[in-house]
Amino acid sequence: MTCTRAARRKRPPSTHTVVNPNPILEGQNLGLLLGRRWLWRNLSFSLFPGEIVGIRGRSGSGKSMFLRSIVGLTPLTEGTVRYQNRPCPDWHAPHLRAQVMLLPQKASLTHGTVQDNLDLARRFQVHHDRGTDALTAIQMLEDFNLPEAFLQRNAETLSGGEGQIVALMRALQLHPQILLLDEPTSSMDPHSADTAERRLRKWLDEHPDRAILWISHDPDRLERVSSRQWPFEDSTE
Amino acid sequence: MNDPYLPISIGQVALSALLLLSHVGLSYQLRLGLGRTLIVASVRMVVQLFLVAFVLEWIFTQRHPAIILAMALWMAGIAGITSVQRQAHRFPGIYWESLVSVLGSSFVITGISLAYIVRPAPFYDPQYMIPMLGMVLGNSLNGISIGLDRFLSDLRTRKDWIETILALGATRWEAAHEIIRNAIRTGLIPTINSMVVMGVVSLPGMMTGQILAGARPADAVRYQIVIVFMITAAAALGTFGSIMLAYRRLFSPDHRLKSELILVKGTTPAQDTKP
Repeated sequence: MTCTRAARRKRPPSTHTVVNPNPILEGQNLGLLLGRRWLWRNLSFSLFPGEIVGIRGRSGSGKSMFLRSIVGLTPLTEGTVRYQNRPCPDWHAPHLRAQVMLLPQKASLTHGTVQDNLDLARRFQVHHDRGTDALTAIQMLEDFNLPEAFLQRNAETLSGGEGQIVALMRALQLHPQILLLDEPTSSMDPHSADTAERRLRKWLDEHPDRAILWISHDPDRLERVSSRQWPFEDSTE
Repeated sequence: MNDPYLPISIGQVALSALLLLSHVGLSYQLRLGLGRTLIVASVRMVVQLFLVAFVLEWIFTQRHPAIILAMALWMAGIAGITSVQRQAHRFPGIYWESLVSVLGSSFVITGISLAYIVRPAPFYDPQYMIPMLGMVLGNSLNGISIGLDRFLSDLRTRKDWIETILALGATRWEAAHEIIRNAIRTGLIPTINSMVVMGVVSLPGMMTGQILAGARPADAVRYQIVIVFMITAAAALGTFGSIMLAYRRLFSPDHRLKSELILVKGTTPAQDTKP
């Protein structure tokens, strides 16, 4: 499958796109071998600043593995992904992941409160220079119509959808450049999912260099949010 | 008194075996199914101990360091293999790394203790070295076995969490730190627990043995204290070493958890295991 070949333009990318015509993330002839089976092969793609690219395809077609391979959580068998025109393996992985941030489908939270979860990543060396960002947190709570007391909720008692909101807030406040979203709203109620969608659109429009790869099984949502869509299919090899 | 202790004849040993008969009878009466196990375990214990006495008698007459070293290596090898056999999880290289940890920790600690603390002449005098190494190995093996098991099972059950924080920009050390800390703590709990209650709840076997053999309790206690520090140090060193070696093998330098390498004992890797 070649994403660029299969891509179809749905809506014009954000007005910011013209600022930088070069892709910020691209891959050439990527392949991932699982045992003796190619999950996908000869996959090429480009992601431009200011755009949301939707990824769709049946379960097991390797969409999640594709996002994981971009940030090196799963090593590619063939090909290289380039971020800012530099091969991803040449980046120090934590720095790359601080800029190209993956949100796995299953929101994994630590024990403690929601606030503890939001503060967690600031302890990592790569985020040391970031101060506490209470304003962003409060603002995001307002965006999601959540009370401030939500920050003191026990993370272990959150529903799946609430967990996804916390995971999204946790990622957004770290100000990455690219978000790799693996079904980020799959456990949310329709209203929260719409709110998340608006929040992500707002995040994208805040800075001209940002971009999103968004996996979803919801065709209406992908149709609405993305400027392009890539259909993912199993490799026949 | 000619002998510092009362020797026990073979007949007296046989008499002590009768103490178990009541349990065997109870087991048959209540159909616990333990009678056969008890008998087999008892026979094994008696045969193993007589054999070991035979070997020790021979070893203690040896003065050549190579023979004593060979015996020590053989003991460490058995301990290394045993520490892995109790694991519920495996990864490539686990035998080698456990062996290195058991051997390294017990040899370093026993060596330092003999050379600088107990100071027999020569320092490898088998009468001191072999029993002390045996005790150190047993505890080091327990620490490694329990600690590594906790480490590997946590890596499996908390894989999603580890990868979530790696994706947020954590280094491999930041992602593994809590799991490493818990595993080392778990590995050392039995040793620390036994240290806490020593002399209050339990009388250590070695100390009891020395007292029965005629040593003054004050002397026996000193030996016991040295031994306890030795076994705690060796268990800590061995547990730490084995977990750090496993950490370096299971987290790649490019900050990735190689979860595909961790297998549940008795299973084979699937052809499409996700890396």
